[in-house]
Amino acid sequence: MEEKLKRRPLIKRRNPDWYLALFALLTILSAWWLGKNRITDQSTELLRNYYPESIYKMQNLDHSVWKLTGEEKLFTLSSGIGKGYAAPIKVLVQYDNSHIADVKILSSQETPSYFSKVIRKGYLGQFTQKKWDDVFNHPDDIDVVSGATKSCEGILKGVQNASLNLAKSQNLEPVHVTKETSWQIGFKEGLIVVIFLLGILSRLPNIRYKKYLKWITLLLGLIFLGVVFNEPITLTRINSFLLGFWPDWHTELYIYLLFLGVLLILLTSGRNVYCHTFCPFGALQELTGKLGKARNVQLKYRFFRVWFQRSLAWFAILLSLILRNPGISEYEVFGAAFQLTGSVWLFLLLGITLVASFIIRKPWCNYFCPINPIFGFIQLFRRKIKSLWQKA
Amino acid sequence: MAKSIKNKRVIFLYFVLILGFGIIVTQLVYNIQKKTGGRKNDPVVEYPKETEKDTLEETPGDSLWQDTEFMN
Repeated sequence: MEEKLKRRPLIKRRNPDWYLALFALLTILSAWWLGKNRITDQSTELLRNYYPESIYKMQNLDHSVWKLTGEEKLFTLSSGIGKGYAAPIKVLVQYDNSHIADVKILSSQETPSYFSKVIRKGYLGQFTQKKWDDVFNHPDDIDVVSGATKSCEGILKGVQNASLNLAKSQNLEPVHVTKETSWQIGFKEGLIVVIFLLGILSRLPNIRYKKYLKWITLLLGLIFLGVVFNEPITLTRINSFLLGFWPDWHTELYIYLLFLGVLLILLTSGRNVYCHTFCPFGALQELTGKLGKARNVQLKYRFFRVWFQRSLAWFAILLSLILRNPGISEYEVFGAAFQLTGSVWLFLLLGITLVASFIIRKPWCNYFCPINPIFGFIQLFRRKIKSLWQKA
Repeated sequence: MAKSIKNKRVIFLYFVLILGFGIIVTQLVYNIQKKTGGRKNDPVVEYPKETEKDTLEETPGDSLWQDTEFMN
């Protein structure tokens, strides 16, 4: 028997992670390219759906301004673009003489549950009867839908830009629109820096009161990044970056601080400081886990232990890149947990994961969250490049 | 006893994973439907349905044109 074992050739089992990571990278690049080439501007088609040729006669005055005759009246249409949470929002404004008669959405890539909340709450209706050259801002003139502030800002900016386009095409005095090009540095940015410093400190070796430091950062993350601002790192944000819909760095500097800080620590030390130190939903699960004395559970099958979560993240990114829509593949429960915004399915998923987190340690982070595998993917490439570098 | 509790936890976790997976797939389908289903189409004109009386077959003595100038 021993001889048989000795004679058996040694088979060096290769870790498939690296090859699968390469496959994932190639498919993601292909999906990005495919999405970029298949995308067509459907604005004109949608415009015709809103104003059918059988009823309205349309004359194009400019690339974004139309004269509309129908229902025994003459209207003017103008389209404008504003930056929303995930991507630009294109709106169509109908003017009846000098007043806004209607605002319609031509295209949006916002997270569906948030955007439908904006529409459901009648946000668009607030613009009607306003004059085209009125200066209207949040919250004095137009009420913001809570929990969907960025989408509302995108629409408002879109309406303002539509009025600007109209003024430009008709040689009118342009509307006074405030341009936010100055830096907006405030509490959010300061908080991110403090959390990072505490997070790094809590992970340093030979530091006293490590446990307490970790709990402070977790609670700061839960309260501010979760409940107060609802600004955790989400798949929609990552997809937005991949698709090139980058937020304005003057007004949303904290997003850059958060992403660049996490990436910098990940690339230099190989540590995922975000998930373990200040992710708000991770902190919530730590709390429920403490209350329920949750335990780690080791699953026998590698697929469920590793590939299940990675496959979900990979598929969600592919879907978003092919459809060129950052919010379309969002399945995270953060909005449902901290802003009470989301579909019935997300609330159901939230309920299940919260109940499970009393028994099993951090089930969302370990089995469902797409953020952890994305950071793991970067870590894997970092390790590989480092080992190749050392060999060379 | 401890092993039995551990097994229960494992079974519970598998249940959560499968249920969660089902919900995530439903959520993705919901997102896609929301994205593509919200588009308005041309107004649909509904014509009255034809009944037997509307038939084009002429019944003797029941012509629309009977006793009119056109027929004469």
